[in-house]
Amino acid sequence: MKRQVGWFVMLGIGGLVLLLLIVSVRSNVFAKKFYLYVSPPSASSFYVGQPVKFQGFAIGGVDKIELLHEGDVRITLRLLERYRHMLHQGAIVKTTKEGLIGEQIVEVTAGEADRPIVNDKVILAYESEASLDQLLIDMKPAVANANILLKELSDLAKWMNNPDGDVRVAMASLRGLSSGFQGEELKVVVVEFGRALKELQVLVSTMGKQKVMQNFSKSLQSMTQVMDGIQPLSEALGKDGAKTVEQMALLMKQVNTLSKALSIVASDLSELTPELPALARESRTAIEQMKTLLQGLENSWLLGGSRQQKRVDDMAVPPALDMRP
Amino acid sequence: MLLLLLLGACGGNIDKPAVIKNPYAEQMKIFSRNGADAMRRERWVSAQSSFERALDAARLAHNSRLLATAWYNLGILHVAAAHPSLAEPSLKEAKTVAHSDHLPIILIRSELALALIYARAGKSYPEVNKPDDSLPADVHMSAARLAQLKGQGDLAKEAYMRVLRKGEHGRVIMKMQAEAHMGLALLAYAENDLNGARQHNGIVLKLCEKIGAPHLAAHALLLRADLYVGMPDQKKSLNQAWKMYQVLNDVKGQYDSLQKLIVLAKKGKDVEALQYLQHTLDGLEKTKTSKGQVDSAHKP
Repeated sequence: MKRQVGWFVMLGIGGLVLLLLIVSVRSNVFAKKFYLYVSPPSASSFYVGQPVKFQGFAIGGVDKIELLHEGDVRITLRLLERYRHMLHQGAIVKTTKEGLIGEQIVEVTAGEADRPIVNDKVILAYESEASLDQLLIDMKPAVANANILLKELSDLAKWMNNPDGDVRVAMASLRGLSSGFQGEELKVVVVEFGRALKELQVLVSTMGKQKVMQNFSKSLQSMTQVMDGIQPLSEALGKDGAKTVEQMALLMKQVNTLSKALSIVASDLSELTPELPALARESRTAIEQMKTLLQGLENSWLLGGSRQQKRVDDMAVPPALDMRP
Repeated sequence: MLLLLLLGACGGNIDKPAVIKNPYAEQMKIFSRNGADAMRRERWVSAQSSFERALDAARLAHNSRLLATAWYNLGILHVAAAHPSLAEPSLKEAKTVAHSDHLPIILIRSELALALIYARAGKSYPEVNKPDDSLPADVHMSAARLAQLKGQGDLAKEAYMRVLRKGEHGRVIMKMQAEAHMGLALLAYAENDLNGARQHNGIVLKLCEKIGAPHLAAHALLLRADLYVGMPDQKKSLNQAWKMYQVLNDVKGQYDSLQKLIVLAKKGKDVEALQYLQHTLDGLEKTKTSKGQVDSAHKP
């Protein structure tokens, strides 16, 4: 009887010990660890026990936060030895946030693969992540340039639309020129010229007759009249053409100024673009998480929502049906 | 013991693996939504740009369902923008992908859309099987319209009723239900069931007011004029329809409503109005001839 009780107690204790062992192994209680230090400008983003992650996996935690004699902050990271071979010299420590309402975590980068593995108790460099405020500050010059550009565009539009301005006047001149070519003057000129030619033909065919000189002089008179008709047109072309060309040159200068301003804006934006995708990605992730959270709240029985069947994600647009009678 | 067991359960703190999503598939969905949004506002160029980008993203996502959907959306856009010649190749591509990758819903959607284009153009087309009850509302809607164009009133009515029985909510389904009521109104009018036609027509106008569907509202007003012949509502509806068609720049709609207004003016012997309307109609005929919108079918 006593033996049976003894066996039962031993079994129970053995089970407890086994459980403790399993728990401690899974929590890495007996795992070998190593230490790294980091000196951020402020300890506000850190707390003892904060997880330290490498490529999304927890490899340790913040062990100690100290304010040194010189006023520097020193954070001690306690990491699992089995991951040390993944960290090389040049590794950086940074703080990131897991989503909009996620906790702040400490992340370690791999460093440079061709350099040696980090030693125990070395100080790693700290990098602060670009915040939205910083990006907004950086965007200000680009926005200011965009304002300048908009103002120039508006000035250009006003200049182009001014009824007494160069463009309108140039257009009117061009129109005047072109209408002159289609106008009555041209018709008259052509008719006169044709008549003159006919008369010349008559002249040639009637060479030798006595009245040949009279006819010739008549033809010459008609030719002179034709030339008289053409001359004012050519003068107008010469005068207005030059003015039009001058105005076109001015327009080209304005366009050049505009394109230079556009280049400034483009170069400002290109400096910012490396930051923008990361920010956009994080914002998108944060918005998706918010949506999921809100949806979950909506459907929660606590708030009176019912568990709705999840809709199939159908991206097809409805058919375009014309229901015309 | 219980406490230790509970501790043990909490002790193994394994990081849950993050849900991995294909970024190109996500991009395709975003572009498709943007395209659908632009289509709703009749910004055809924007919608085309979005759907083309969705198509590129679907190709990169290497997902046949998304690819077929992207082709289908592009086809429907061209139908809505009155370019049936551009719609045909896109819908054929959607059909090919859906057929080879066994995507029955997109397959039947594409087949119905193509059949509607051919029916409107007076071309022959292969028969489309009657859709199953479980299929989405838009499939039944297309089938109903096709049956209506073929003169199969009973089949059309049955399909429209299936759309109305769908218990989903949202603007899209509400618009389809408005279109279903319009279809039923047209069927009832064809069968000389004026009361039935008026009832359905009234529901269409109420739904259009709720969701904002100006094209459908204008068509409903045009039909209303035929349903209330000789009553004050007739002239009022025709005037409203004409104004709406003017704003929508729908030449055929303006032409139809003007012709009916001219008939009314002749009956009422309103010479001044008749002259004005005739003059407007003449101007419109010139526009129609230049745009080629007189007899061509724009949308199925």
